[in-house]
Amino acid sequence: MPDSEVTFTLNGRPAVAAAGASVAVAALANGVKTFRRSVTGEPRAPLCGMGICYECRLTVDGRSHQKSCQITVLPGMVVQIDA
Amino acid sequence: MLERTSTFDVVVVGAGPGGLAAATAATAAGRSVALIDDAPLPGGQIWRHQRSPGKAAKRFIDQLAGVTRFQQAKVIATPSEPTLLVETPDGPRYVGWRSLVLATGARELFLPFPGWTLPGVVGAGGIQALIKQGLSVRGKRVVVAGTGALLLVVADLLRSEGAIVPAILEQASAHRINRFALSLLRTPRKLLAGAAFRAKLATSGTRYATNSYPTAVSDTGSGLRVEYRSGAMTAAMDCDLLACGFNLIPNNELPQLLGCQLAADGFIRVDAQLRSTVPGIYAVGEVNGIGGADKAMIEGQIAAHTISGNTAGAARLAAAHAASLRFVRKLAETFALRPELKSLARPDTLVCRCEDVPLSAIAQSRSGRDAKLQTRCGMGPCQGRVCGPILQHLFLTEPPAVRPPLFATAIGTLASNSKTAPGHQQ
Amino acid sequence: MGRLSSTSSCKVVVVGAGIVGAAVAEALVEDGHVVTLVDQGPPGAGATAAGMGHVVVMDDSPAQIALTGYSQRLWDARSPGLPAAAERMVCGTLWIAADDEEMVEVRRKAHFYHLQGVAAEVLDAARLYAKEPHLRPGLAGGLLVPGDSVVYPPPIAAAMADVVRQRGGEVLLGKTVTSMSGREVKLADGTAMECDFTVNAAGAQAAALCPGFDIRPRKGHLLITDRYPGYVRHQLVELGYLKAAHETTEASVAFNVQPRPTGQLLIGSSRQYGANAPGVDHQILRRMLDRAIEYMPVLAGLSAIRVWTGFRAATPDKLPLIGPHPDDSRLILAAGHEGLGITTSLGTAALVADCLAGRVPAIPLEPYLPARFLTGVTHAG
Repeated sequence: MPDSEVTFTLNGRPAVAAAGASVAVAALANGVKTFRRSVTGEPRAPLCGMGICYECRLTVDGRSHQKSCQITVLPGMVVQIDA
Repeated sequence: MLERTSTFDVVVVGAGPGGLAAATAATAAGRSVALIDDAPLPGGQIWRHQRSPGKAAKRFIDQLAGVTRFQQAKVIATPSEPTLLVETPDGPRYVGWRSLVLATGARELFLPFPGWTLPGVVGAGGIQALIKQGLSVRGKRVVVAGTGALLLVVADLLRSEGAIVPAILEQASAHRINRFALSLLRTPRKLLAGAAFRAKLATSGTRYATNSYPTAVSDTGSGLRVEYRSGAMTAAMDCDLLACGFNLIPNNELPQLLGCQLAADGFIRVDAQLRSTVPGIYAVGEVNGIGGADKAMIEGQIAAHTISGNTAGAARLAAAHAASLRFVRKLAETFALRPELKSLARPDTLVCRCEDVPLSAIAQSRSGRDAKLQTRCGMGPCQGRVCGPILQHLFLTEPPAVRPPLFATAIGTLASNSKTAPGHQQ
Repeated sequence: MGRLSSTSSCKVVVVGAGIVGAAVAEALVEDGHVVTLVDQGPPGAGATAAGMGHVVVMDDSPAQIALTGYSQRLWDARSPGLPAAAERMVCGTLWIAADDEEMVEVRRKAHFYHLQGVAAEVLDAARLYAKEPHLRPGLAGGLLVPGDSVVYPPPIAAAMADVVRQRGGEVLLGKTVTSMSGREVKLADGTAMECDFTVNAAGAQAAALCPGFDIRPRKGHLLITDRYPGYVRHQLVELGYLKAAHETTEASVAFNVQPRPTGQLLIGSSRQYGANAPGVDHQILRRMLDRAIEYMPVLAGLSAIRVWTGFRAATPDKLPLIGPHPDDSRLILAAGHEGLGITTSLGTAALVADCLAGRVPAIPLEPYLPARFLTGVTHAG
């Protein structure tokens, strides 16, 4: 079990994730199924988990196009999903 | 934003088993070492763990005391001869090297089939990576598919994390798999590991189906339905996640940008001491041939010993190295991809996920170059890392020329104050 | 002078299927000639694919504004028939004045454009920022030319090649031309094609096929970002761009940003002579991006997906060579368009077609005639 939890903001609401988890996992653990829409509007979610596919991009602390599988979720982080 | 240039005796790119072995051996030999890795924590795909590293990783990570570490750092470009431009959380950095060890590893080959872009379809290595980033799969039904020893490792990991794995769909034939298992008699440790896997599978209710591959995935509203072929039979399975990957392909972009020659199938050409065709540059681990953590560790050490002039140390590892290379060949033969996999995609199946380019748009192009001019295939942020190998697999197109930036990066990384960049300093 | 007369259909080989060669070939088949279009690669694979695809009226000289103005009217007429993949966007060009001195230049340009019948609007600082809020503070204003547009050229060149085929012409791709005269084109595989006229539209390689003409490659860099819809609405160019384009020896950079229909930003520009290697030059890339960030600071944080280089075909007087070779009147040159190849491809094609048909062209051909560069030959006036 995780030693501690981290509180962050997900789409404007407070959310909780295990300390040390990636932002991608934090989103998945909070019920996010669709991370982004493709250029023709298809729902997408993480594929490769290692920073290659760019399907996990989210807006983190105001910066868009961030690869959430390569960022550790931190207390107070603001995560926005435009899907 | 000012960038700093720091030069090291040995710069290691990639902190997986190969990179960790090279960095620790080089620092033990008294060299100044920098270790660059793009993940938040070291360990690569196989050892990285959110909570605590495994024993093998810890052994190396504990020896990193003297090493300058750049974590969450990506090599973006090679702006001048022995210098790497690295994007770090603190801004761009110029890192100079006297010797360079490339341990950039491998990524999965994803092949397109109807439904492969749906949320819930992840790579086999992908689900492994997400679990190591803290994903809970407890109680989830996960079908594992594709090819490779990795499928067994992933199924094992999934089950140990409380997931239900109804089946592994392995596209290789039973004949090939059995021959591979028998050949492991030469490497008792691996044979035992393999036997242990099979035993666990047998008691866990996971069916290991050979001659099997997914043909389509659909969203049922409450999960996924995976249609598949198994031998002559076609069937379907319901699940929460499909973890699917078709072998590993080398992350050869940085080596190519540096001028390293490729061998067959995109792997970096190296000699017995892991030297690439560019003086001073070594390539270790999966990037020169898929052989797992053992091979990578051996090669990381050989490269570091060679750099440090420790020929005896390198020679002591030669036999183990040769054995690991035999394992590389065995893996490649066993898990070669069957031709049916080229025909899974339908005309409306996407080939390029970044730009939503379907197979029908590509099929009209006369060459890979033509495809890139006339469609948007490869123009997205993944820079063709997903669709490029698909095109190569489906159409035998030539891989594109590699240009910087090696990853999408902030424009500021490529800019910065030109008065203080290398070239303007003495 | 330099006008040929031909009242019947001729056999013409066009060398180079970039936007210029493809446009020329298309215009010639539409005039009823029998055309073969040859290229070492697919249509539009060279500078045509590498450049910005900016269709712009440029006032560097009367001859340049004549050719670009004429060409832009042709682009407007053509726009309903463009393939969807051409992604045409009439976003206009916004020339940016950093200070009052540049505002004087803005007013001069506006006046000159008006004389040519080109719509142009002087913007003060307030209106500049209303149109482009991400520009750095402290700029003086600008000139908006609303009729300028941007396109993605390779599918257009490919569509022109298709027209050549449909009208009974031949398109030979993957064939390298080793030599050409007005009557014959020789390929690397030994084939010799005989014809009545030839057109050299080989861009940066045109001089290799017609020695004696000063057409040199001028390397440029471009960077494209991820998708940021709405960040930039017009093609933004600093007035200093013209100074940079004039510079003949030193490497130069100038602020030049284009919005793409996808929401991506295409960022340029750089010019280097004598740098013929295709690799990315980090020093000049840095300078180019520093300049871009100077004009638009938010660019520093945007994600760059790709950087690439290309080679413009440059001539000493910034005007292309259009018209017959002085020593071989059946060899027509259509090359040396520097950074205006996309724009002036259509005007060039019309001029070449008029030349072959003996028609009076819509604009005078004299300023572009190759004879102006003959070494040792001077022309009065």
